[in-house]
Amino acid sequence: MDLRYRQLNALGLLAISAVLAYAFASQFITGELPCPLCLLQRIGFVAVGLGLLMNVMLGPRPAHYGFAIIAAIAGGIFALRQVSLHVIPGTPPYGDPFFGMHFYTWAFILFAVMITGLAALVGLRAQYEDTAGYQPLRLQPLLCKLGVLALLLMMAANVLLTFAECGPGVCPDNPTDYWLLR
Amino acid sequence: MMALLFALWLGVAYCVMSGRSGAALWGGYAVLLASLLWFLHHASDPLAILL
Repeated sequence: MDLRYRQLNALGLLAISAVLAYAFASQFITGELPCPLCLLQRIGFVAVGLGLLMNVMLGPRPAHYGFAIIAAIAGGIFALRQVSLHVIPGTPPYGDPFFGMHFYTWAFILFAVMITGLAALVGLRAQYEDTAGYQPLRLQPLLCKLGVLALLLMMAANVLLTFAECGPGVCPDNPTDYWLLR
Repeated sequence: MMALLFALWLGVAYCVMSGRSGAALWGGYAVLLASLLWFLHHASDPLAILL
């Protein structure tokens, strides 16, 4: 069975997990809490990751790529909304810049790159010869195991940290402290 | 509320990990729709740049 395309998707999972991990690291190092739109962009990355997770666990399918592309479009909309809020002259940006651009601008670029990459990948016919379907994690190659576990870890961390920040209610627009520590 | 959205995505991931492909895909679209509705609710204030 040719598992190369599952492994290619696993590389994507590792890349998305790295983006989410960097966002966490920045949250703890700078002490800046993510705003609701920032959290929605994280949801966009998680959703794209789930499309790739389907390819890894259930086998590559156009429907899975389609889901990931639609999720990336949604994530791009979330990011563009935040860019448009801060592009107005006199409107202060949210957070510190990273290599000259703010996280929401980087997020928009990354979503655009993901849409392009996924649209290119969906046309590779050879991957659909993998008809094995669902493969449990224990039977997956090491790269796939790593990618899957990294994404699941980031998702679980997001649930816990978002609850710690916002609690069961609505997140404040400019959060300054954790709801759980009040 | 936002933590609940993340938890719903974790539920979709559970469907993927347990091999329920139909539930994973339809569940994924349902949670994506919920996320978009949440976004629309949150972005309902007028966008100053368009005014």
